[in-house]
Amino acid sequence: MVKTILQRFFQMIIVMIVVTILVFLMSYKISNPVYLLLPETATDEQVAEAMKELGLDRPLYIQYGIFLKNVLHGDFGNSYFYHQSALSVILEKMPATMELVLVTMILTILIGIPLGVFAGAYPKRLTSKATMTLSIFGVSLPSFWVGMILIYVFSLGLRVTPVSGRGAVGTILGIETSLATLDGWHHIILPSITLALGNIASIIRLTRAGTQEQMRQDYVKFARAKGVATRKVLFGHALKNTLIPVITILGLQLGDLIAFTTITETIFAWPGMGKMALDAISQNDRPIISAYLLMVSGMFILINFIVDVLYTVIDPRVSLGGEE
Amino acid sequence: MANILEVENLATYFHTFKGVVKAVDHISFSMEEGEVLGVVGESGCGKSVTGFSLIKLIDPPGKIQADKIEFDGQDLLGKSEKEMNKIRGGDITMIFQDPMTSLNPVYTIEHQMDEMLRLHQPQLSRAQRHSRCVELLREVGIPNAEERLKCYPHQFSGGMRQRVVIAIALASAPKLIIADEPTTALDVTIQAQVLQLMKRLVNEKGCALMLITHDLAVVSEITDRVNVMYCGHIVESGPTRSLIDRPLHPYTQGLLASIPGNGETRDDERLEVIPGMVPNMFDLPKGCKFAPRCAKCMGVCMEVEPETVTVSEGRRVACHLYSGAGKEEEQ
Repeated sequence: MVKTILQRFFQMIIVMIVVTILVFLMSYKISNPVYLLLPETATDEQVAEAMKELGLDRPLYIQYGIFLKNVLHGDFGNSYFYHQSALSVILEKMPATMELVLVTMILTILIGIPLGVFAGAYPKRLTSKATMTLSIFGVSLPSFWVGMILIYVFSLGLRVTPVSGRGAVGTILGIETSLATLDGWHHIILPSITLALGNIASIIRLTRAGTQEQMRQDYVKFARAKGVATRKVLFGHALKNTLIPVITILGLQLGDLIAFTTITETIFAWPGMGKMALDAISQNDRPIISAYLLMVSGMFILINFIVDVLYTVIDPRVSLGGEE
Repeated sequence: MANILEVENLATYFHTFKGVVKAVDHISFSMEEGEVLGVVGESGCGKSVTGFSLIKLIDPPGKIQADKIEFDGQDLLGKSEKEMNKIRGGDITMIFQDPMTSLNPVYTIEHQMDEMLRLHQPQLSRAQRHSRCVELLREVGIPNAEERLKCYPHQFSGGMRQRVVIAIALASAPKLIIADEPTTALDVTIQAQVLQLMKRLVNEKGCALMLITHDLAVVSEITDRVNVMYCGHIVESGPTRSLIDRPLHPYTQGLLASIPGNGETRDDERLEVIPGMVPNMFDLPKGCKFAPRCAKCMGVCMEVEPETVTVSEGRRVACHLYSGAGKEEEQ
C-alpha cells in the first residue's frame, strides 16, 4: 500500500512538471509583458533594454529553469496590477471560493445520494418519478440562468436572501470565512444552490442507475433472506457497491467547482478566485494566470489521487496497480 | 414427529404486463422437524418461487396467497415485514444457488457473518460473536478460520464461498434451511463435498432442510422425501426411496429415465428424453399441464386438471392414471 502510494506520488510529480512546462509556454506565447510595462511611445532600444533587464532575451530553457526555481520557492512573481505577490493574491481570494465549493459539495452529497438511492430502489413510486423529472431540469438548465432566476425569486421577490456579495466574514481556524457568521450563510445559500443544482442532478441519476443494477444482484436478496431491514440493505449493502462511479464523478465535480465557479461568482459578485482569474486574463496579468493555472491543476491531480485511494478503501477488489 | 412447516393452497402469481404467471399454483405440503425435503423439477417450474414464498420474499408484481403457511406454530401469513425480518435469517435461513454472487463483494466474511449474529442473537457480545464466527467456519471445514474471516469473498474459491454461505445460514441455529440449488454452480467433486457437509450439519443440528434442485441424483443422495413440481403444481410426492424405485407420475418417470446409467437404460441404448418443452407460462394447457408432453396422455387429460390422490402410505400423485376419471376411461 505504502509502495503504491509512493508510486502514485512520483507520477503526480511528473504530471506537475509537464503542467509547469505547458503553463510556462502558454504564458510565454500569449504576449510580451514589456509592452504592458512601457509607454506606447517606447523605442525599439528601450524595449530591448527592458527585455534584457527582465531576462526575457535569454534562451527559452533558461527562462523555464528560472521560472521553475521560483515556483518551487513559492514565488510566481508580482502581479502587475495588485502590486503584490501573485501567490498572496490567490491565497487571499481562495477562502471565498473554497467555502462556496464546500457548501456546494455537501449539498450535492447529502441530497444527491439519498435521492438517487431511493429513486433506484423504488423506481415505480411517484416520488421517484418526480425526482427523475426534476433531475432532467437540473442537468439541462444553465447555471447562469438558474442564478439569475434564484436572485429574482428569493432576493427581489420574496426578499429572504441578499442579492449578492459575501456578507460578513468571521474567522475559523485562522481563515477568514463567511461560514463563521449567520449573515455569511445567508449570502452563501443562493450561489451554492446555483452551483449544486446540476451536480445534484447528475449524482442522482448516477446513483439511481447504480442502485437499480445492484438491487438485482443475488447478494441483495441474500441479505434480505438474512433478515436485514430494507433500509439497511439499501444503504449498507447496495450503496457501497454503487459508490465507485459516484466518487469518481464527485471528484471531477470538486475539481470543476474549484476551477470554474467563475460564472456563478460573477453573477453573485462573489469575491473568489473565479472572478480574479477572469480579471487576470483580461488584464494579461501573467504571474496570476500562471499561478492560478498551476494551483488548479495541482488541485485536480491531488483530488484524483485521493479518489484513487478511496477506491481501494471502498472496494477490496480494486488495487492501485501494485501487487498485493 | 411434529410438523415444522405446513403449507396449504399456496399460490404465488406474478401479475405482469403480458398476463398472469402462475408460478406456484395452489400447492400444499408439509415438513417434519429435522426432515430433508427435496423439491425437484425443470427450470421455471416454481421450485425457487416456492422457497421464496415461504419467507415472503416475493417482489412485486408477485403476489402470495395461501390458506395457511404455518411455521413452528406461527402463522407467517399474518406477519408484518418487521416480524418477518426476525424470522428470515433467524428460524428460517436460505442458501443460494451461486456462491459467486450471493456474498457482498465489498465486505469481509466476518462482517457478513457478524451481521447475521447481530440481528438474530443480539445478546452476544462482540468477542462472543467473533469466536462464534471462527467456530462456524471450522464447522463448515474452512482451514485457518481466524485469518480467513478477514478475507473478502473474491479471495475464496467457489466451493469455499458456498461453505461460507452455509456457515452464515447456520449461524442463527435455524429450524429450517431453504437451499435453492446449493450445488448447481459447483463442479462435481465439490458438489459431493458440499452435499455431504450439508447432510452432516443438518443431522447434527436437527434442523429441517428444504433442498430445491433439478438434480435427482442429489435428491436420492440426501433427502427423506421428495416433491416433484411441474408448472407450479406438485405432481407427485412421497418418500425418496419409494418414489425413485417406483415413480408413479409420467413426468417423474421421464425425469428418472433421462438420468444416464439409471434403471433400465443400458450402455448400448439411447438415453430417454421427455419430448417437448416446459409450456409457456402465459399460456398453460387447459387440463393436466404435462399432458402435451405425456406419452400416456388420455382424452380426459386435455380437459380436466387431475386431483391429487393418495395412492399408498405417504405417496400422493396428481395424475388421471390413478384417479377415478382416468381409470374409468382406461376400462
